[in-house]
Amino acid sequence: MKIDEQTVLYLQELSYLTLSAQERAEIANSLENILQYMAVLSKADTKSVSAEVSGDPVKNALRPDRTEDFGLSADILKNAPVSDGEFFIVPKVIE
Amino acid sequence: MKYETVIGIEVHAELNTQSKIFCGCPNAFGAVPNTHICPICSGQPGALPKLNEAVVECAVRLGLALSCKIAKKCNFDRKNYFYPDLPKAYQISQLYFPICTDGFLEIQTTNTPKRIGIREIHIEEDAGKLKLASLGRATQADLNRAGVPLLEIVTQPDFESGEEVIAFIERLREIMLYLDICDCKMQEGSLRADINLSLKQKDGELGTRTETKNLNSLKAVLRAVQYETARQAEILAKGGMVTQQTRRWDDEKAVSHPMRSKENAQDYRYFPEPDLPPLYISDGQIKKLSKSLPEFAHHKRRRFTQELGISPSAAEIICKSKNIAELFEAVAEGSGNSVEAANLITGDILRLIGEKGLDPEKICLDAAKLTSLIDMVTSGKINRGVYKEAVEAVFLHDADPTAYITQKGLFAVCDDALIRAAVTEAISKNPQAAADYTAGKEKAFACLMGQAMKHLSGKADPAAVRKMLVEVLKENV
Amino acid sequence: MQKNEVTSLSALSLAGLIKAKKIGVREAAEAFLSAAKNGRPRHNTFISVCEDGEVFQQADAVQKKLNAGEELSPLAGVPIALKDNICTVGLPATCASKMLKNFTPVYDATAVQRLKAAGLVVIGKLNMDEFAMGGSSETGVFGAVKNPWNTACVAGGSSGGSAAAVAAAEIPVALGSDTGGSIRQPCSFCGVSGIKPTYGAVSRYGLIAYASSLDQIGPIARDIDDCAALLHLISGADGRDATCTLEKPLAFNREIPQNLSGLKIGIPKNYFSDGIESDVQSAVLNAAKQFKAAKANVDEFIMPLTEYTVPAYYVIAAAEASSNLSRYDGIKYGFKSENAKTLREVYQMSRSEGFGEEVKRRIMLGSFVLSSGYYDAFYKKAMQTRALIKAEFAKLFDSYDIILAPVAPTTAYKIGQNIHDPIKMYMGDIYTVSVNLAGLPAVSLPCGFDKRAMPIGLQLIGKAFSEQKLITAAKYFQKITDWHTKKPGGEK
Repeated sequence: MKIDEQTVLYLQELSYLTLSAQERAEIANSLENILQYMAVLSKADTKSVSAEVSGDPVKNALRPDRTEDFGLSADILKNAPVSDGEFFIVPKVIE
Repeated sequence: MKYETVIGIEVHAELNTQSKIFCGCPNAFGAVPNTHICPICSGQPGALPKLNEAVVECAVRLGLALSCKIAKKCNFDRKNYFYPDLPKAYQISQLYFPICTDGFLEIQTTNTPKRIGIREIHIEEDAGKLKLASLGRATQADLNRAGVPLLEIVTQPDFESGEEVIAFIERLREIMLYLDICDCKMQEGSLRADINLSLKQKDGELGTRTETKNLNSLKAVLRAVQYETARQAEILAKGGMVTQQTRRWDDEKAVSHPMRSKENAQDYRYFPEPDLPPLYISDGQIKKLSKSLPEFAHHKRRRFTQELGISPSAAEIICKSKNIAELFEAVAEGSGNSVEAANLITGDILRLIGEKGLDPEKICLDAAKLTSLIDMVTSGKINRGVYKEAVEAVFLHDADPTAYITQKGLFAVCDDALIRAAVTEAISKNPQAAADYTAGKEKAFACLMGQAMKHLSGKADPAAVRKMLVEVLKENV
Repeated sequence: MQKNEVTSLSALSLAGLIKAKKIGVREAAEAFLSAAKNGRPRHNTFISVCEDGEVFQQADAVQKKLNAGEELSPLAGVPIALKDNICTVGLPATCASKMLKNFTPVYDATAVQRLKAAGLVVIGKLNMDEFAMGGSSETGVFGAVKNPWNTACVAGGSSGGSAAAVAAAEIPVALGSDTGGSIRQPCSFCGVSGIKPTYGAVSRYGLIAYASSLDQIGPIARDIDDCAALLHLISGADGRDATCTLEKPLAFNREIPQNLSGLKIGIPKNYFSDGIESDVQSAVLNAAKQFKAAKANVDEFIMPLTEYTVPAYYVIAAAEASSNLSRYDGIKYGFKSENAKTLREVYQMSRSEGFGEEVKRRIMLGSFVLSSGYYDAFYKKAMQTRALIKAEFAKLFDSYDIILAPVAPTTAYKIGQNIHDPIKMYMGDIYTVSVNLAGLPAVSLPCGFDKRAMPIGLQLIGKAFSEQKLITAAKYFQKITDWHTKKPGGEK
């Protein structure tokens, strides 16, 4: 299957990446090869398989409705590249 | 060209669980920014979600209340997109296999009730909050709200007007308040509604629909429906086509604007959430939760009007709150007088709640005490004025009615001689008023009544005083 | 004891000597700290080594508990290092990426908490392929890991640093992670032992995610006993990982059977067609003969669906990775591009500058296979194929207790040789990925050397939660062979 410049630009957009023209050409090429290689999947006989996620009925993995204080909120904020000590700061978001 | 409005809505309800949906951070409103966060809800590398069991119960209970099919097995999915209030850059939601499907809710805006179809209820997590920094050149992200549990209720496009939408939201709110799963405050954002609206010609095809978000009150919902209907009608009248888009409502200006393409034609690349196994709901669990459902407002209203004989309007008011409805019923049963009970609740009790700014769901009144007051006033042991005062004493101080009335000596004066004496006193002190009344001025009677009651320290039965006053005035003529 | 005597000990032996007070915890830690610092420039194994003071503090705390008579664990006092995609408070977790180069986690992974509670001493963090995406440990931002057997060759990946450090006696035990072979293949390339546990046996809380439905943390050591001891410590549910279904830790017992009579071993004969190097084939088949000589029932069969396993794996792994890596945005933690001005730029430039080529390739691939229009043909199809593969394995384990197979079709190749050929790299995973797709456990053991004196590994694959059976068979194999005792560079 053909991966053209438009598709690469679209994938860039979905993935929030910006590639240079050369990088885009390279990725288009490798994606094409990879997808061609993966196209073999279409031959697999999966008619007998249900559409749902496979899962054996196991006990539900739930947690009780209780609060827990990790005491890590300050540390988490400290790791932010830009913060004013109270918020994570980003350039102005336009609605 | 005559168009019909076709509306479907999506309501998001923030659940009032103690902790967030996938972690133990507190689920609370108004905390200091970024203090209710942990590795899980702030999207730290390596953190994993674990589902809060109370969220599942809320969803099943709401599903049962809305007559939905409860899925035996449902799954979570990731909805992928980038936004600074979404720490993992995906929202854990349910797309392919939601927990509840195919329900309905009855509304009544005309003489005939109408069923609004519920397409599904699904579980998802809320995002954080963004706000513009003070200098306006940056945006601040607060992740306290990230991971708050939400139920999304999606209706079929069964609405034909804004009034129907309002009625639905009010009914839904009532149910959620009765279930005690959400505090349903639109202004605070714990209840949000998005409307999907299109126009179609009678018997024609469905038109292109638009979505309107950011509706923070029922009034806004109504205005937005009217605005969008008019906007689309105008486009179609000019021969144009309605563009499918998401619009943001501006209540101040009463208009909506198309949102930036972030919301439009987004490919969310949904896929099953690998960090959460499928959720199984057993028949046993459904049965147990079914039994725990409260009697809902619409049932109570029917029962109160049909069996207890109170007016539909009184029933409507009383049943807005489950707590109040239960109080009313206890008092009605205890006193055997549902009309009196209804008047008491819709009158003084709700008035006092309003005056003190209290939450009807949180007040705790002794039904037995109110019952005894009703007994006393209907049997004439106290008059209406005293009754009102004693009710307030019970409300504010949980006073014991008999003790209160006895201490203050408020029992009604029934002695005819005393009443006659008071009336005679009032007449002799106000000869002009007596004369005016005899001359035909009805208003003067009220003045004499007031004076007579004053002499009796307000403790007599006004009806008895009135009777005596009329009698004595006649005698004097 | 001489430092190099200490570092040549197995973890259990070292723990035994520590318990018997023949070696102090600090002495052991010092020996490995030196080894780690020396090995770093030679093999590029360690991304970060703890400060001496930090290590000694840990060691002294453990010593104190041991002196007080506390029974911490069979590995108490043993130094350990962790693949750098495992979260450790106070130590960076870089995933060998510019994106997380200066990132220090605020919490310990569950596996790390358990290790610390068991008295192990964390020495440092180990090199890997960037975000665990790769089979050679060449794609990381800190450069390639060098194979201690031949430093011109790759160590395998993505847990190359872990396997190489153990092989070079820079650390007695290490933790790695396996998503498509990332523990087994570097073990095979470096001549050490490793275990990829059953999916759901070890909590992934604190393992920086690559592909959530495939990732597992596992032990790497010079013999299977050490691996089993470590696996016992880290396995079992922790309440934080909804996919960790194993309630109790996997048992650890030191018994070795007299023989393997009654054990049914199956060998996929179609794994030995073209593509596999002849030396690898011989070594694995010789090992099979030894199992047969031990009275096991050894049989051949045709492994079905092999042409689909690598494509299905890469579609699913790329899809999950593209989503898991979306959280790296330059806003909450990690790298932020200096040139970014608008919000869009913060996202796009931070991600584009922060991620390497292979990572970006897989993210784009993942976005593609999940995008509307292609979801059904790729992602959904791959998931259905996965279900088929799982069902086929279940059938096989009706007939066999263990499947014996090669780990990789080749031994370690030269650094730089395959880096520009993604498909060739992906094909190297042909024997390992199906195990991850089916969520099964597998043990990787050294079983020989090729003409270039490079190690060859074999894997024993079992049905879900049958680690005990695999470990027992592996223990027996290591009793009757000595491949696992060989050390690189002619060192004793």
